[in-house]
Amino acid sequence: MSSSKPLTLSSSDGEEILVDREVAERSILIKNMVGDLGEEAMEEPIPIPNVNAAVLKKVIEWCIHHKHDPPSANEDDSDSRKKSTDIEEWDQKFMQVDQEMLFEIILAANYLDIKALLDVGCKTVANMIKGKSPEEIRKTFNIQNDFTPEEEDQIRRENEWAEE
Amino acid sequence: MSPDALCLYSLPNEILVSILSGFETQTLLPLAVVSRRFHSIILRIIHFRLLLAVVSDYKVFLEAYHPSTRHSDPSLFCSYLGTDGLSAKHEGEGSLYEDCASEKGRFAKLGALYSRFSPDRLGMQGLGGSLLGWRVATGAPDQATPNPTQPSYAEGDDGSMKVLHNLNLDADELFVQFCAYATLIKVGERRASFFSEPKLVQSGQGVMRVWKQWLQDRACALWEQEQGQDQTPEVRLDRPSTTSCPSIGSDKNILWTDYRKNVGLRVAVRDREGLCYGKAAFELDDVPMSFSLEIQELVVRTTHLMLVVETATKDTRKRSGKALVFGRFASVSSSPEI
Repeated sequence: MSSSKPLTLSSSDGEEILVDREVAERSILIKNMVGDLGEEAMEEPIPIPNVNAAVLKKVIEWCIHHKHDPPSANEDDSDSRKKSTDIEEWDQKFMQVDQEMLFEIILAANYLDIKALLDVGCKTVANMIKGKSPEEIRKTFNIQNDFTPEEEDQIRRENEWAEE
Repeated sequence: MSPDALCLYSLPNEILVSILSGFETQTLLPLAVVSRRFHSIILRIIHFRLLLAVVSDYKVFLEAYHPSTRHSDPSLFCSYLGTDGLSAKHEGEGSLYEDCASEKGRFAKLGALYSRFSPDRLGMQGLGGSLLGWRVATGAPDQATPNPTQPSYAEGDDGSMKVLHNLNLDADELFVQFCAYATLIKVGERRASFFSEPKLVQSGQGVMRVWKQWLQDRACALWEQEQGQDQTPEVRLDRPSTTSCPSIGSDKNILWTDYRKNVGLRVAVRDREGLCYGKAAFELDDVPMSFSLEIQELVVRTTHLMLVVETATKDTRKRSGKALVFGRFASVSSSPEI
């Protein structure tokens, strides 16, 4: 593994990016691809049709920082509730991007199957939601309220069981 | 990549689910009014949590007693019977929301669900031999035990165990007190202190007044029902404890521990001397009476159960973080973060 050659990833907008094998294999999609197609096929650039160069570089930056993380650390972590706000400092800084980039990263992590990055992305969005009123959430994410005031009122009343 | 700017709604549902799953139920519910999409995702998350809560590895433990026999009455482990209406199905025919055309009323449906438990021998067997040492009377239900308020156990028609309490009222008494406390106990875990156990009924809340009038009414209703059943035996299939109960909230045979109707006992009341059958209530105003109270089911509002399980799981996590290494091995299956 140490001797394996770097991979070339080709972004949706046609840019080719050279990445260490170890770094690229944080992506389960790429890891499986290497496993399925064999070493020879990896001489050619690997197309990543869903991700543009700016986002791909950002994702690679994350993978480089996290390349020494134990690979299975997040595999069985089915219960994400316990540490919804727990994001390590480096990741927090990394995620200080505009909303569009944040959602691009989340979609890319989802597509490339990088669970730890997807988790960080989801937690970042969760932290943006946390502590906000429904109205503030709509404003933050530019969501249109498609309930009538009457419907909204009724749903509020239906949910009173949670106020113990 | 795409000409339109990405926004939160560009994310697929499964990602929105994992974002919102991080929130506890009480903070999540108010967000259902953000939009229809939020509503639909949050409803699914809560629905799923209810499904998990009823099969959680907690067992319900019931202590029901007359205040004077608090320390002599045995406690009962309860087996889960079911939650009428709750299924994994979200849409269409047979689902809980079948008759909801829009978002309206869907959360109300979840809030109206009840989970039923039976305090029975099966529940005790699951938890080791020491519990089987409890008094198990083989006598018929109407054979009095020496202490008037002590419960007795008798075989029901189907071989299940009945839990009976006798309630005696003096001539001038309008009600008797009865207590019911339900807690959750993790299967396979040694009982810690009672006070740290997750409570379905809060301390002090489980004391109920059982009114003489109510006892008479229930006893008469049951007596009339059973009279009717003798003539048409096929109705007997409909045993009171298993009749499907779309409206547990309005079931008259339930003694509620709280005004919100979160936890209650479904009981069958019988007049031990048969005084009240066929008589008007006022004729018995100054007559001492004795009733038998059979606890058929413990009913718990499913959302209440879920919230208690949620709190308990959170507390366990807090504690397991500080646990000794020895304890960690023991709790490894229940706390994935270790």
